[in-house]
Amino acid sequence: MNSSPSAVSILLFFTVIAITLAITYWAKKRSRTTSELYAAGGQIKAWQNGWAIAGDLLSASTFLGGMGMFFFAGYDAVIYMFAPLLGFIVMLGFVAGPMRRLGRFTFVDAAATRLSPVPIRIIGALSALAVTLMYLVGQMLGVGGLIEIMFGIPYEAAVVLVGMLMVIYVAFGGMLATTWVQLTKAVLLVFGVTVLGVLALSHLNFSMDELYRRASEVHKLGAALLQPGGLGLSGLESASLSIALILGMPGMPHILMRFFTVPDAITARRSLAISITIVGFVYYVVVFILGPAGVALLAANPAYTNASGMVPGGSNMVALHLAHFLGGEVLFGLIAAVAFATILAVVAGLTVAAASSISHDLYAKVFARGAVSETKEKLVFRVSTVLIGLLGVGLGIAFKGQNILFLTGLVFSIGASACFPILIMAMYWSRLTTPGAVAGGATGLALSVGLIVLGPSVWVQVLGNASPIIPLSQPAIISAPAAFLVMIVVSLLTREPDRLRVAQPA
Amino acid sequence: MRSTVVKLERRGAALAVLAVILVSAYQALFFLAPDVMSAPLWPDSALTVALLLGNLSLVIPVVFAWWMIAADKPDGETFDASHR
Repeated sequence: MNSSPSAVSILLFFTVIAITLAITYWAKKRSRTTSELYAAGGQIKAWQNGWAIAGDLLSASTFLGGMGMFFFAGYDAVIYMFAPLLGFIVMLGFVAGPMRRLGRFTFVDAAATRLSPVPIRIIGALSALAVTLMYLVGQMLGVGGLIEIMFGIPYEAAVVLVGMLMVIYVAFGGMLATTWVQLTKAVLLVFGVTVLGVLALSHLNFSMDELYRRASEVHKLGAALLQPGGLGLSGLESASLSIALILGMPGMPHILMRFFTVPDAITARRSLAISITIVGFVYYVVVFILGPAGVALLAANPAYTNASGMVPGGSNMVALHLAHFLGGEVLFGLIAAVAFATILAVVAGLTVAAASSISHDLYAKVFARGAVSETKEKLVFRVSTVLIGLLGVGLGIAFKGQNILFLTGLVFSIGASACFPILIMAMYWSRLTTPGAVAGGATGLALSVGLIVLGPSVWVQVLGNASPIIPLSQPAIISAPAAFLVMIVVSLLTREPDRLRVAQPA
Repeated sequence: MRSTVVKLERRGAALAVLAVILVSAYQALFFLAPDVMSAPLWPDSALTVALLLGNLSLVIPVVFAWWMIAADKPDGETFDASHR
């Protein structure tokens, strides 16, 4: 396949940028207060928020990484699809409604409602920052490879370009611009995967049997392509990964924030049901049709694979090569533009969440103790957005070469071990005390980050050591229960000050 | 202002847990009954029992989500209302 950029690719690429900047310009005029900046004024409708949540979740990891993982590891990619959907169900059953009732701008608002706000906000904001920054790295990796393959420009330059765009969206358009960028992207993505899926099946006479037969015949795993084990994860690691994804989803700060953009709890729940339907559809097409189709149509095709059997640009680019195979330059350009829009939307959502953690939780509520003007809080939000942009670009370059879906698994470990325990226990367990929440959250955060750093994914693959200190690549099975355990034990051993037993503003 | 914990919405919570159990059971079947999961749906078919159950497992969360919100009624409670 010729990797030089086509006119169609360039045109669609700049069309996406133009549309998103136009949305930002429109939203800027409607983002004057902190409520509008953080939560779009709470006036987003259920269907809009449903598509936007889907736009938040359906990241580069889902689309590019999901197909890429199926290409080299087969059916294990399913874990990355099923478990987040179950996480959404947990979110719907336990979190979405109460979150909208208790919180205002960030998930830490809800957690801090009945506990001592300052320490809860510090540990909550640090957890949120860890999650969002790591997630940001995954997205940056996707976009670097994508623009490299589309335009042949260096990875680093592509990461810088995306960093600049996300800062513009969030700093000027706030949550309203982010919502409409996410909504637009989700519609484009559903359209894109549907077109790809139909065209892929048409090449195989619309026969699923033919699709799976050809995939098994040409893949190195053979019939095992459709069985678990391609990733080489042990049973323990598979379970740990599932726990991370199921419990991590209801702890994702950028998705939890979306519940504050709608008027009430029922709208929040309805919007989540809508997004589960959209996400379920995309997951289905990606994992059951496009994943196997990528293998069946590309793996034995010398025009799309190199000597080692991999597609140019790495496994994350399977979706683009499949698009080129099915529809030439036009479809390649369309899907590349969809993938690019996907990444832009997700990084915008992550940046809003990260910047809000700094400006609302840490600055306005901890540092200034609530005594801060709207103007100053908005300024801090915008400065934070720039800082997050710089950090995201720096980390995106430092983590170059990692598989983005694997990184997402690590992010969910932090969400499951730090954000989710604090949130769920604060909502439902009356014996929880501030020291218990802080100790448990800190334990979850430290263990998940520490085990990740000492494990194979960072200690070996990033830092270049020969072997990991902790041979577990997915730490949630240890860190999440440990966070809950510490939270319970410390709460039972401590007592909330009497003044906090009476209702207080967060 | 609020000083108490949230009241658990039992129906939604039970359905959420049931959905997790059903889909987790699907994943567990790969380890408990691998021969059944890799069995073809009909002779000489590349489609396996695992793929059929996988399709169902992806539908379960979607169906359960709409089931969970089917009984929702407006309660008028928002952050502003509950903290006024």
